[in-house]
Amino acid sequence: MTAYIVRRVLALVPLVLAVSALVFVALHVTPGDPAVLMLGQDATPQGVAQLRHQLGLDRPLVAQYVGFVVQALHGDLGLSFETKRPVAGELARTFAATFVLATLALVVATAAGMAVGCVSALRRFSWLDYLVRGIVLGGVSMPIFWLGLLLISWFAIRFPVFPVSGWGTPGHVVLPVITLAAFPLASIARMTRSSVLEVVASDYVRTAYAKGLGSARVVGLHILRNALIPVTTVIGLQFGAVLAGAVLTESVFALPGLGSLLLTAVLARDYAIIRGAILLVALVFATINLIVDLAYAYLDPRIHYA
Amino acid sequence: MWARLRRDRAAVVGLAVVAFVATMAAAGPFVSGLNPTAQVLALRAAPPSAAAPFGRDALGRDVLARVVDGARFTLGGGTTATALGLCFGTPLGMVGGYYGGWLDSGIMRFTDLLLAFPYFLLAILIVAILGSGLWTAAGAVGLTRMPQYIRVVRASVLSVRREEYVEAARAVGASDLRAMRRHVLANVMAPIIVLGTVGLGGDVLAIAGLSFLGLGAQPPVPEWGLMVAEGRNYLFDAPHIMVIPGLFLLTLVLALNLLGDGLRDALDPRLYR
Repeated sequence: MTAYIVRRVLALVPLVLAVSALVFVALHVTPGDPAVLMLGQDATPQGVAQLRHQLGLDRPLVAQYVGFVVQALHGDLGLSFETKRPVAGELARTFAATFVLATLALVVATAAGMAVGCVSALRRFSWLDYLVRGIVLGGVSMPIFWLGLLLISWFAIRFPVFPVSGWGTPGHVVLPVITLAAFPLASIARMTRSSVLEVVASDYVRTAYAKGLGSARVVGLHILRNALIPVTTVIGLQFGAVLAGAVLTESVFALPGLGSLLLTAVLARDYAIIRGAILLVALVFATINLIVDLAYAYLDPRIHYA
Repeated sequence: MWARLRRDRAAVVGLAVVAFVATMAAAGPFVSGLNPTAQVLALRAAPPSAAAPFGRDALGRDVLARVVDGARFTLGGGTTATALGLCFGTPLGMVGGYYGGWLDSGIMRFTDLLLAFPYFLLAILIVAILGSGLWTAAGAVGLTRMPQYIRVVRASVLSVRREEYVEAARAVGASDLRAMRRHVLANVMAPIIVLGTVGLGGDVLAIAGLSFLGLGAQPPVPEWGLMVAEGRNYLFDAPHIMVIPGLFLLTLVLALNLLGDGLRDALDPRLYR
């Protein structure tokens, strides 16, 4: 197990290198000289040349990339073109909001999605089941930016229970978390429902009932544990959806998160920020995927990593 | 297949809605006779009325006319993205699965690299490089969806490659290309159709999301996601500007999902819900 973890962590190194090289080259071939962008409209050719030299942009591409990697390993991702502040600092400043938002959304989606999916399966063809299936279908089809705006117009404007936008108090978190949780909640509920339905029909569940176990024990010990494995896969897949949805949610609610930072950077063509943010997201994403793989082994003793 | 699909009421409803939106996209502005660009300045942000059943937007344009006109951008953008993903993803997955070896490993490493990002963020990165616009956004979304198609097609090819009918085709002298086209592709069509239908729903949402952020369609294109964004400043006084296009978006994606689920059940009767 330890050997497996070490190998997987080591495998992150080439991946992150490849991702950073891809991003580096991609942003390099885009039209628009960063030095010109930084100096703005009234740049003199001398000024541009000087800044290019200062930024190392006059060096060969490979040398620039190696320099970038070495600096990045020291925690230095360069300066933002727009604000001239360190990229690493900007990322650290905005990561907290996104992290809180994404984690809460996933926790809510997992808890509610599993509960709802389980009830729906155990009470199959009841009105509750149809209600859940309707919500699930709506959830996976919902444009989340639209859901966010609807929530604002109802619960912040018509009935001013929560603030319209911003960040800081617990009240600020509620509507964004609901918005962001909708899609993963629906996906998790759908998977839980079909997974539980499959397990309920199995022989060992019939045996458990036949030997006189109460339904609480059967559901808890026999059904849920076995139904959990495919659900874990879906939960793992939701991290990507949540990271992507965070960009939209942060835009709707004007939250100071990583997504807002990235969006502003894209609109302003601030390549230093874009590069740093994408690299950070790829690293977080890879780490999460590793954790999900390890969670399988914990939940399913049959899965054994060597 | 049609017989089975017809019995699935939800799928039939989905198909009807998708067909309706497709008709709107193909012929809407000509048939409806509504003008999506005409401005009535006196009726800026006017609520729904008999003359304009969905009201007017902040510039006094008829929301219904814009929604009808926008169908071709929303559905067209999504279709372009899905078609791109399928057109490149299917052959790559087939070649990888059929030949294996270094070619397969190369293709798989490529998908690994693309899958290292959450796909929406990868699309944002591509748009950042190429510049915003509806068709750039569609291309970006199509590219980011490719790995999914490659993987599914490859897995299906792997499962049929060693089947006797493929070997038989090879034995009677069919070329690799012919064997792949006639015998392998025919067997991976079902998952491709299902994945494509559900994928189209996701692609429509992704492009609408990019447009909402200002990275996709640009004003005055009446793309539905962009229309929602244009209505966000009028939440208090004129919520219909934001609600109507979003409702159409939700309905279209919902219909595509229903149709996709129905197709999956119809094409693979061994699966059950």
